[in-house]
Amino acid sequence: MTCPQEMRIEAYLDNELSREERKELARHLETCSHCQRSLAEAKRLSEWVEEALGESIAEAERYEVDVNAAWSRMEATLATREQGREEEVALVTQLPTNAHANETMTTEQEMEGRWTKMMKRNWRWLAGTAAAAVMISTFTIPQVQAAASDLLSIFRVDKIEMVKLTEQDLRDLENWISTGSPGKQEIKGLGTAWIDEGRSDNYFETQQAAEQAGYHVPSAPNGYALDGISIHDGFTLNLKLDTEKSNKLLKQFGADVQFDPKLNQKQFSVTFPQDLHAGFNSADSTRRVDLDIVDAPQIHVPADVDLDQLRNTVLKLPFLPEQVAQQLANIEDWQTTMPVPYVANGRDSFEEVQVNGVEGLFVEAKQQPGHGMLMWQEEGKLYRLELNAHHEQNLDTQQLLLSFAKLYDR
Amino acid sequence: MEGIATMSEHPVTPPTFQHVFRAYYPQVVRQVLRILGDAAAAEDVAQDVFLQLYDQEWRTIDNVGGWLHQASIYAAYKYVRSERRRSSRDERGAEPGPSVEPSTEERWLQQEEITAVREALTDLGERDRALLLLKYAGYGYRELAEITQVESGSVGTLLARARKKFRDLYQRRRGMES
Repeated sequence: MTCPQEMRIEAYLDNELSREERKELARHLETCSHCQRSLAEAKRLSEWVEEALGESIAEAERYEVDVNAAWSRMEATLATREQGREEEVALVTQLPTNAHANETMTTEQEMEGRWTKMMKRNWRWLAGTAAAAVMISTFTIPQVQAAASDLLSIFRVDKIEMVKLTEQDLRDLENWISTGSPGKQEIKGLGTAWIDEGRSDNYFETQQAAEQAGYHVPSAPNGYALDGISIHDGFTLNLKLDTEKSNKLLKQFGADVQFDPKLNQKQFSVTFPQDLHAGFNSADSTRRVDLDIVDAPQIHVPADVDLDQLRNTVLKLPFLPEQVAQQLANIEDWQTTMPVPYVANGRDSFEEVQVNGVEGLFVEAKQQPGHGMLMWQEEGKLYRLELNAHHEQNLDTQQLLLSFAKLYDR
Repeated sequence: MEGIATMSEHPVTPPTFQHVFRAYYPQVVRQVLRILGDAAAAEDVAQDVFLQLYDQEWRTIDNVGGWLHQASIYAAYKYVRSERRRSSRDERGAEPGPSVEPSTEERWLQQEEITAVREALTDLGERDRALLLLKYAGYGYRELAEITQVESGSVGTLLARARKKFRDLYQRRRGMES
């Protein structure tokens, strides 16, 4: 009952036939009444559909779209999302995104806020990256003794060592790492990094409140008063690798090393026991000091893994910039050293200093007089002390911070 | 791994996400608005569609316009479905009202018809709906086949079927009302 040419009627109507096909169908229509009826019906239907859709659509066509406003909104959403990610410290993804902040800032007020924020952000990033770097340096270990049957956990870090990153290194890392949902990051084909849930955040406005909750509150520098303290009860960063895919990747990059298949989908983790942040204001509120104390991370790696092989392999991963890998490989006391990456950007100056008798690092933003940051490690804890003195010229921030640091010497 | 492959070969002047956004945003909003009839909701859905694009390896999508069109249709109907669930849950029962206040009887009738069209589209299957709306948006058979992932030879037949189904659903809607 159907005519072979009928199949083409819709395409004929929609002007989708080739010239030849069109001619052929037109000739056929002259003689086939069945197809004539079909065409008429299809035409009516098609016209009705256009009309029906058109009515509901006319409204939409008249709607004026404000693309600028829409783009601003999108930008804001993307920015919040990036920020949300930073909160979740995950493997090497906390890259400072405002590398050019200083160039684009206009007023002093903005610069100030931005700078402080940048340091905080970098610090978070440092924590996250340090975790990753710790893991990487864990892999650089020649041998670690087995303690538990399935896990060997095992050492506490009591030294820090700076690993220099350039902005190009950062961009390379950033390019390489894909963005995923916050809290869990798929590392392109290699595996997954995630943070255990249940991390609790506590904030106290006064020393009394914190002490009542059972926390020890670090002393305020002389002439400063506590302005809030927040304590995170620690979290664990986990990593699982797909060794098969990772090995393919390595091969693709011409690396002559491979992951031990025993590692496949096995969990590695770094636990940060606790981190504390306290703010202090000077009596006249012109200066502010921020203190962070982070317990040294603990590392857990599977027991039956050949760490010699692992070390070589991880250091050859393509996303690890060569000079960074080199620096990591050069760390001798790998068991007890935490590599802390910092960015050499030409706008901040870095200086190694002695803090309470141990190696520390002083960071100063060149364009920001009165701002400085000191980092050091003592008894397995990492300390970060930041001073924000609102553009006081000629203030020796380094000396001031060093004097504050004595408060926390044990 | 694809990420690495593309990383090494930076195109000379690749379009940024902003370029893509600015070029296609109006068409996405309008597409969603045709379906929802509510401008504020349409802007929300359009934003979501672009976030989806942002999360894709969007530089590798051949036909970004087509991708966006289909994603908009899909997102708009997802919104319609969730709104329905919400309104039945809230026991409000009422469909979202027309965006324009009916002033005359004629206006009101027209609005009724628009509602019926929207309802009929909602009742259609996903593929049929995409075919109809994309066709209306001016896409040719080849693009339709590509976007909805059907054989290009069967687009005509599928389209004819979708049109009939749409008309039947519409008539059933109108019949129910009167």
